[in-house]
Amino acid sequence: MTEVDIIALLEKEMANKSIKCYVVEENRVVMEVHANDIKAGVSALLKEYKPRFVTLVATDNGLDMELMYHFSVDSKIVTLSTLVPKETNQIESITDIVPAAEFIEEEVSELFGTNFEGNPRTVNLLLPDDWATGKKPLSKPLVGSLPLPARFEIQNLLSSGSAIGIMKSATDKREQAGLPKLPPLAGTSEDSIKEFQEFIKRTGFGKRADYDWEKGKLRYR
Amino acid sequence: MDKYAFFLGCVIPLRFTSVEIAARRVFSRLDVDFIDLEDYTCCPEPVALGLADDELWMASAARTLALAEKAGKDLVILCNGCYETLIEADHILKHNDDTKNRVNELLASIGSKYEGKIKVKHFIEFLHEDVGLERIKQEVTTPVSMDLAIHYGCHLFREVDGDDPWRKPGMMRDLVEACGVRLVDYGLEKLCCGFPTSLFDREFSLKQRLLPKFKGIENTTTEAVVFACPACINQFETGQDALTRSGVELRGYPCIHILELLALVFGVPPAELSLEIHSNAVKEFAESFWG
Repeated sequence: MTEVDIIALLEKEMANKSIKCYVVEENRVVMEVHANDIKAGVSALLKEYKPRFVTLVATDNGLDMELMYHFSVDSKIVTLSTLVPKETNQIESITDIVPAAEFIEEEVSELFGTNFEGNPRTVNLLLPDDWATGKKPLSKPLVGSLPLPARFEIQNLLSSGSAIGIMKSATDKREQAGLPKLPPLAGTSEDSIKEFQEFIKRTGFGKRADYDWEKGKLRYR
Repeated sequence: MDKYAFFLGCVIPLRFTSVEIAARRVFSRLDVDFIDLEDYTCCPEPVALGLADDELWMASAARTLALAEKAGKDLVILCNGCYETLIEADHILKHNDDTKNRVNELLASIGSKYEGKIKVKHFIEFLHEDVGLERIKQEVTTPVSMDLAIHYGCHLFREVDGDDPWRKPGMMRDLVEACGVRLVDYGLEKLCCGFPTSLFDREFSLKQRLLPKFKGIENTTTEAVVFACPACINQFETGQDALTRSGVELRGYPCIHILELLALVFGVPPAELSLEIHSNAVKEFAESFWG
């Protein structure tokens, strides 16, 4: 069995999923997979091979938990890598198909707050029993690339075309002064602001700054 | 006179409506044929937003410039910050083909294009160069014979073609003096009001930037301060309150925009300018010389 064989298997079994497989170096294969499909990925490995679960490595990268499930397959390391958004910080446990994952999932849960849904363990493994709920020793705050002073203005810009919020007191003042209720900003027309947002999407801003276009806000504000 | 498109920005129409009203009254009185630029977005602000994401900043600015080109109008900018962004973006696009090509690929997706056909002007240089001091003086009916100081605002010193940074501040002095004002110098005219740093360190912006300016002004016979920038007015007005609350003894000054001053000396009654929008005594100051 070669690295190429492992990748071919994963791509075949995960044909309807969004994955990315590659060889890092000799005897090292990585499959990047969506968090919702982590169990399907593990199942794909289990279906053909008899992998040994090595460990789960967790990293808090500011906005997401990066989880890397390492398996040993015939002396090759196969890593299933996924990102769990910290806003939910939840992923399905693999303990029902890989029982050996119970302790490490619990460890990650205690240190970073990630909820492994379905993990059967109910008592602490590392932390004292009276450790405060919600206090996670290795968890970091939500952190993104934009500096704090720019975040509010950028959200306003993308939602209304104006960097400062459009408040009712301002529109009332305008009307009282005999001016149109709103200045001719793009935000005053739904079509114009949509066009502007689509335009900005093409700059790659959403990815660079982790802007959630559906919710209309930065993930870390 | 050719037609112009006014770029209002965000702060003037949504916070300092009095400046927009004054601008419309002043330009109408001067027979300037203008339209409002439609569908524009925030310039965006050149300091915090410009540093935060250069691509977002450039794309938004280029879209605005392309809107003006499509309308076939030169842009007259009413706000110092907007001027800095749009003149700088225009300069980069006119001199950097890679950036221009990249921006035009983006603009093509919305059926737009930047060609560099229009001029971007600060309203100060527009009034001084395109309208002319003599024409302005003809409209002055209620001159202000008072001692006033100027805060130019950093972005008014912005020049992109190597011109003298004092070119536009000098024009502003001429315009204020055309109102009948006796200009008072306090020696710290070029010092930033602290607004950009207030976004990062409010105390520094107040005590290391704004306070020295106030102390300099207090050593003169100044009765009010004239501005060309809405962000600077905001910093002066809110900063006066904040410094006073923190125990600093300040005389406090009305902070009036030069367009408001021009409207008043052109004979527009203070009551028609919504000057109560200012958090300090601009309306009372206006009424004191307007009668």
